[in-house]
Amino acid sequence: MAEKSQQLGEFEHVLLLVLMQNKGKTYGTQLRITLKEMVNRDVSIGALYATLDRLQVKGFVISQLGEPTNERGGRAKRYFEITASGKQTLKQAKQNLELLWQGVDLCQSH
Amino acid sequence: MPEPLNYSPAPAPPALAEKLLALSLPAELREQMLGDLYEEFQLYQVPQQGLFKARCWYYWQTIQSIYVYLNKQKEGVMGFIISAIVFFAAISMGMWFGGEFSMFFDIPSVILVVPPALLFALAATSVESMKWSMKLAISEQLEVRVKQINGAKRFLQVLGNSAILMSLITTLIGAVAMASHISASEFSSIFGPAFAVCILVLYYALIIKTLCYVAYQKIEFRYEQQD
Repeated sequence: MAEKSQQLGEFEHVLLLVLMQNKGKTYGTQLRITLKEMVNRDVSIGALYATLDRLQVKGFVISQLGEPTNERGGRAKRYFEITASGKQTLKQAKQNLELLWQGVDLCQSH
Repeated sequence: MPEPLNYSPAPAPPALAEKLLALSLPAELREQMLGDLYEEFQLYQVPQQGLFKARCWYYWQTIQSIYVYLNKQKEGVMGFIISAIVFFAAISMGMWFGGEFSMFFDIPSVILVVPPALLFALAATSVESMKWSMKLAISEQLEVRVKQINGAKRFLQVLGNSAILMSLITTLIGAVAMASHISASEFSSIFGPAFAVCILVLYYALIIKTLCYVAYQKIEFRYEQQD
């Protein structure tokens, strides 16, 4: 069983999947827009960065500061990327969920 | 002759919200988060929702983000602001229970305490130290030299102590004046109001001293952490 510090919270799980969807390095605004468009989830920028920070501490995500640009008022982007450890944890979480879903019938009446 | 182009620059996010956010976010996240919000405000929110709704959106993001980082920023500006709000709310409640608010306000008493204490503090330190004391009390200024920290601490110490000393001196002057001028026949009607005004300077000085003490401790705590 995975250690508690290595387990994925629900939003952490979603964020790692969005990072995989965006393929390669991605930054805060892109992540927020993908979340909104794909799963209609409107998270605050504060909650997004707090979760990304936790994922970095767990070693599932790495980040890198980019160049400042005009459309951001001269401020730099921080690019995030999923690590090999993050991919492995995601894979494990998927397997666990598939195992738990086996034999579950939501239409079954009690 | 060609018509001049009707050029209007893209609207900027609300300055107040940006300022609040900048003050409450950790220094290492400030740039990217403000940049992300700036980009989304100009490229998505304003074109899709209009300026008013985009501004509301920005304020909502600000409130939510401040809430998220409030607990993470123990030494941050929000902690100091909230303490100051609670402090003034407690004082206001005390004044409200005490009777009329107006009896706690006396301009000559303020003049007797605040300007001299400020001048003493500036004379003992510098304008630069005063600026640093305010910056360090209300912001996450991480790149700061030991000399600046010491200057800020010295300024707060002198300001708080000078306010107390000035109030003691002026209270004594008031007491001497009362004792010299009040006759036995008018004692009961005059002594009460005169004494109240006389000790108001002490009240103002204690407020200044308390704020200076908290700011001093906050700076010292950060300084210890830097070591």
